[in-house]
Amino acid sequence: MPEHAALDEIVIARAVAAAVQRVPGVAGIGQGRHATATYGPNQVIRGVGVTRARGPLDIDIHLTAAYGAAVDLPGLAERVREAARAALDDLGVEEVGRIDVTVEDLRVGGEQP
Amino acid sequence: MNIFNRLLALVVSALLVIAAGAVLLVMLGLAEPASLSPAPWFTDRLEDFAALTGSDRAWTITVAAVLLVVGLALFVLELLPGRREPPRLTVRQDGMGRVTVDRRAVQDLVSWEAAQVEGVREVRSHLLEGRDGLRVHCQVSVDPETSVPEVTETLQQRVKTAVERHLGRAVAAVQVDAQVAPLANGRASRVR
Repeated sequence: MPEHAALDEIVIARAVAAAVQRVPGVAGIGQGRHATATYGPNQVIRGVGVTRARGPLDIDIHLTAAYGAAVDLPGLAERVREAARAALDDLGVEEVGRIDVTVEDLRVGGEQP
Repeated sequence: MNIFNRLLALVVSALLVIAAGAVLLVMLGLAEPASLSPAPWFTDRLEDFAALTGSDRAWTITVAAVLLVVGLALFVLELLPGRREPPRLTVRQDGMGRVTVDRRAVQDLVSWEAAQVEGVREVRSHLLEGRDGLRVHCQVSVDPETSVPEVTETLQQRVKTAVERHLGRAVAAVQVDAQVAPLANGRASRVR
């Protein structure tokens, strides 16, 4: 893989991760049981996978949701996808394929349910 | 496993069975290489095996037998429908992508909700995806003083409400098996 492509992907992953972590109801990313990450030179962004396997950019987000009476996981996932898409728009990424969201864990306060 | 991976596993296991079976038949003297070979290159390979003697022959027979068994087992397992559950539940799939929830996270959710029910001491949960919705099976250990019918009803309602609210998926049934004795070893959550 050319170095500039890896750099691009790590920049994208970092921006998406930052955006997702700001979504209310997200307790964390990349802390679950199945590791997904984007690797760049000397850095790793856990919880966000970025691939270009089929041309457009595919994003795979693995998050831990805060568990509470009001949590609606499909709604949360929708907000996460919107946040990710906004972050990609800000970066000028035009070709976006899938944005998959996986809720790996649920957390009540500081604990898992 | 998706259909492509399953087909790939079927093809690989079939090739393994054919190759190991052919080697075994030739080495045990049950067939001639030429009679088993679809192509000359395969005849040459089988003749190499047929020429082995002593410990090489014994080892080759053993390895071929093991590979034959493994190949057969893999082939049969791949043909069995619905024996494995996907590790994640899909709660939404649209043009933008797929939203999934780890099955164990849902089991944790069920256990956490069950833990809120008075009298429940341990929980083990299992999820199945049916055509009419999710089916949740809870095995619980309860206090001896507890009314089992009351606990069961409360638990069913609580779990159904929580899973439907949080996952947005219909729950077709919540089956509860309650017992006073502690649950046997397995992935059970002690809640009291």
